[in-house]
Parts: sequence; structure tokens; C-alpha cells
Amino acid sequence: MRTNTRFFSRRNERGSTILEVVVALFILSTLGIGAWYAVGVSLRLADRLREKMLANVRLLQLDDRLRGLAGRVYLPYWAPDGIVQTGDGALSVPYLDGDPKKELNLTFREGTLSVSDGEMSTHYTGFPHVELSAATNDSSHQYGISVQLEGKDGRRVLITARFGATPLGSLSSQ
Amino acid sequence: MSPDHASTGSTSLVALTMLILMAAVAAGGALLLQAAFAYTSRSSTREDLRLSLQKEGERMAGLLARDPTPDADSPMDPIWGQIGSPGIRDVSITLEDASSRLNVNWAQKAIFEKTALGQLLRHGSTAQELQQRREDRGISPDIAAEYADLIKEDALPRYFTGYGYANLNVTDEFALRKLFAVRMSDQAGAEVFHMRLQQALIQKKILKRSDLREFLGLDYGKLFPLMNAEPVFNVHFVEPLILGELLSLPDLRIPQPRHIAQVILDSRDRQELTSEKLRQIMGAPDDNRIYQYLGVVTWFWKITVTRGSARLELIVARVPTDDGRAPRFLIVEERYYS
Repeated sequence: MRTNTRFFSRRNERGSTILEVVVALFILSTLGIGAWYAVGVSLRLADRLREKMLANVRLLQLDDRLRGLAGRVYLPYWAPDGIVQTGDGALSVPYLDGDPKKELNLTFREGTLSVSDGEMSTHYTGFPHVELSAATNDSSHQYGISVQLEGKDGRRVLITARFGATPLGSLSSQ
Repeated sequence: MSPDHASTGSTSLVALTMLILMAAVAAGGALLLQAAFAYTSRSSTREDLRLSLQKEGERMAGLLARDPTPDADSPMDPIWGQIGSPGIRDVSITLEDASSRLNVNWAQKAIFEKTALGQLLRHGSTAQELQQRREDRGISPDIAAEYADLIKEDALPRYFTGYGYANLNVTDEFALRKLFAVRMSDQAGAEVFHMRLQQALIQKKILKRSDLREFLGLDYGKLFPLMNAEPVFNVHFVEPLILGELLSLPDLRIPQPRHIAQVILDSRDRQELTSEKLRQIMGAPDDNRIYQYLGVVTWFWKITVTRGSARLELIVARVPTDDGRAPRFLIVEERYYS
């Protein structure tokens, strides 16, 4: 009797190929699901990273802008104490570029922080809570502005920007 | 195409699509990171340069405060030796007396009308116009913008300044009224203060340090040291023209003013003059107004620190005290150019 010893005959090969295809499809779909999950995770991670990077860059830009503008405030050495006006989500200080009529203005309304030098106004969003105040030393002498920001992730950042020039202060504030 | 080929092909297509997708995400992320890092790096480099100049400027201000002879400032002080050897490389430092010039905000009309200092005003401009300008526009820290049309172009940076305390004995009475109004935010109070000032002028009274608390009354805490009775010009750094003309003021009746000016100029090149030595040279009675003009202390300094195209200018004020304590040094202005 002639036995069929051709395990690798074309007929067997065809049968094996179907099984192989099923197995291959299973493996491929498993790999696919894994890859899809990995892509999803990567995308979410990339998105979070992008958000964080953008928030940091926005913060740096705000920091640059605030320092630049505060540095342009040249209060004469004879100016009175307490010249920074704050209240109702706003801060203003005169003597921008040494001109008593020009003001640096900061306002926080409806989640938007606006920084203005009277000619150009820049708006910053993404901060649910912002506090504006004068930066003072131990003797309550005002030397700049302080902006405390709270990000959407609850992270708090304090930016203190010095004026280009500060008054001498009275004896009580020295 | 055989089934094997088709199977291999479709597997590669899925893998390729995944790879492209992931590569695109990675490339996007990398670009964003690169941009963010570049911005951070630029910002950090700029800030580092500024901080290094600030540190050097503050070191110089510290040296001013540690002067071993605090009662007199002269080119013999140790700080002048430090200027040539800065703490960091490629940095150059300059130091200048910023207050021993005519303070255009405070100067009295008589200075220009009764001496040759009137020649520093532009042709056709008068001291009256200068006084009126202060009345109309107020005192200004930016003297170049405010007074350039009244003062000769070359004279403005050399002989004039906007930094200096207002000595009650030698400052224009209307400028003092203006200063009071700005400092105290009180126009009515400024008028009362002006009347008190006029009475002192009529009585030809010279206010001394010890009189200030009584004269300024309740406002003393806010007005001192801005208004004081300290000599305005440091004879070690004042321009010879100003020195000579101040000594020649007719009202002061200083004998041989030109000779005294020359003696002071010769002496300051050899040694640090003390107040007593200066009084000996001038020989005027103690109540002479010349001692309100000329002294041996600098009140405002300008420190310039330069590195490449970056330049930091600091104005440092020496804040006098009224209780015998050592004076404080305060950076009142900082300008950075890059």
C-alpha cells in the first residue's frame, strides 16, 4: 500500500495556508490592536507633552513681556510711595518710558490676562486664577509688580518683575 | 501575484501605515520640542548675559558702600582701582559722578543770570524760560527730551543732570513747590510750603541739617532726604567752569574766586579733600551759601557695565541719614540695552 508521506504536498500546503492565514490574521490583529493602543497612548502622551510645552512657552512669553514692560517703568527718584494702583482685577502704574502720562496696565477679566503699554495689548489665556499686586520689600517700598498665576492643572507660578527705576522712598519705607 | 505575495504585501502595508503615522507624530512632537527648546535657550542666554552684567554692577555699588573714607568721595577711593579689573572677562566698567552738575530741574535763575553759566543756554533762550518750562510741564527725569531746545547741545550732557537732591537753600523756590506737590500729592500743601520757603528767603535764613525736622514739620519723613541741606556739588568731580562760576556768584562775595577755584583744582588732583580742608581753602564765613553748593560728597553715581553689544547702566543714590548712621546706597535706576 502506498502511503501518502508527502506532508508538504501542495494539497497539504493549501490546507496549512488557510490555517496559517487564520493564525497570521490573529497575530496580525493582535499586533494591530497593540500597535493601535501604542499609537493612541503615544498620541495622548504627545498631546499632553505639547500642551505642557505650549503652556510653558506661553508662560515664558508672558514672563518676557512683563519683565520687558516693567523694565520700561522709570519712576523718578522723587515719586511718592504707593504709586502702583491695584484693585478689581486691574493694576496700573504710570511713568512708562519715564512719561507720567503713559501707563503700564494689567487686567484680568473672564479668564484672560491682558497686558498693555497703551499702544499694544497682549492677551494671555489658560489661567483660571490670576492675582495682580505691587512687589514690595520688607519696608513696603514698591519696586515692581507681582503676578501670581494658577494654571488649569493647579500649578501656581509667581512672576515678579522689577521697574527700571524706583523712587527713593520715604524714611518710613527705607 | 501569488497568494503568498499578496499576504506579505498587505502585512507590509499595515506596518508601513503604522510606521508613517508614528513617524509623523514623532516628527511633529520633535519640531514642537525643538521650537520650545530654542525659545527657552534664547531666553536663558539673554537672561544669563543680563544677570552677569547686573552682578558686576551690583558689585561696584557694593564697593561704593564700602568706601573706607565715606565722608568724602574722590578719584583716590579704592573703587577707582577696581574699575580696571572687573570680576568677569570681556567686561568694561565706567563710573561717573552723576549729580555734581547743574540740576536743570532745581537750578535757580540767578545761576544763569549772574554768571557765565548763562552761556550754556541756547542763543535766545533765557533762565526765565527754563523756570517757566518747569512750571508748565513739571519736573522731568528725562532732561534731554524736556530741555534740549533751551540748552546748547554739547553743554547738556557735560554740565547738566537730572539727578541730585534738592538743597532747600539753593534750589529754585518754584521747583521746590512743584517737587512738594508731586511727592506729597498735595497741591494746597505745596502752596503753604512755598509761603514758608519765601519767609525763609526773605529772612535770608540758611537752613542747616538740624533745622530740617522743624522746617519740614510733619512731612519730614516723606520729604527727607529728597529735600535736604547737603552740599550739592562734589568739588572732586565738578566741571572747572561750574566751580569757577559758582565761586564767582556776586551774592556770595567770595574774595578772589578764580584763585580759590584754581587752588581747589590743583588740590583735588593730589589728595582727597575733606570738608574742613575745603572750608580752609575757601575761607568764607560758616553761614556763607557757598557751603550749600560745594562739598566733598557725591550723591548720585552712574555705573555703566558693557559686554559686547550689551550695556547696563545703573544709577546709584547715596541716601543720607539723619541719625548718624552710615549712608545707604540704593540702585534707583537700571537701564539695559542689547
